[in-house]
Amino acid sequence: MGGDRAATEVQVKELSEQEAQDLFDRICRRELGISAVEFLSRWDAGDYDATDVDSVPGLADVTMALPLIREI
Amino acid sequence: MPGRNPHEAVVAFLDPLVDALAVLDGHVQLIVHKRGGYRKGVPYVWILNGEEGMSLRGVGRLRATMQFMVIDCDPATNDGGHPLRVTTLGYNYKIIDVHDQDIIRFHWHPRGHAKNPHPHVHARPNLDAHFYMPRVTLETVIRGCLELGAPLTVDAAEAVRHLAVTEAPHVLYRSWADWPPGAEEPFRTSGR
Repeated sequence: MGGDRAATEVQVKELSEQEAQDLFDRICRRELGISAVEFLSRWDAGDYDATDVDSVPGLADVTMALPLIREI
Repeated sequence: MPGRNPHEAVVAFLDPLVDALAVLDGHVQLIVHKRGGYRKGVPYVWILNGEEGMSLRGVGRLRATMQFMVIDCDPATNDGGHPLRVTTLGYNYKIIDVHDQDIIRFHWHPRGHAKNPHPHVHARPNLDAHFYMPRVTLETVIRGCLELGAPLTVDAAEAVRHLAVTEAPHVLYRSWADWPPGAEEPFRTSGR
């Protein structure tokens, strides 16, 4: 980018397995108030199967981040 | 945004996004987890600055998350003759005010439980309503931040020009713009 650009440093940061799990846990806690373990337990049990992802505040944020920890 | 291998394709995909975000003044990191190395056909996600998103001084915050996957492409369709490119699987952008209240959410989540194949927006005053609209690029969202007065690293005119340049590869190589293949236009039926 040309011109008199200020010094915003943009980086791509690659997480380790543990860092990815920790980030997903923080997202779950921030958005849904539950741990990643609890969220995944409910997810795998089908508790969200009939849920409109837009009807639960924060659920879209969590589901969008799922590839951090799972190949889905 | 093609590449010779999955890693190259992802780098070519992320580079314009990183470049676009550089017009916003503040800490910017695209966080990814490639699980040992990018592979074709596997979903990945990038997240802007983790769970808190990017602070926009005087405006609030920008949160951005995008799912993506490396797929085959026709080498004849790009100058390098490369066989792989990245396709977007979904996105979730939102601009949040200084009181931590969402101003606007840009959603496209066509996969998984309660999937919705259509890109849509939730905006004040009714964040529950779905405003269906064509696919929204990250550059469009950044232009929205600019409109709201987000601090920039360049003047506004230069930012707009720059965003047009970074958006160009996506516009050139994307396979759809309005409605995803196979998804009927919202509210339109064969009888209308």
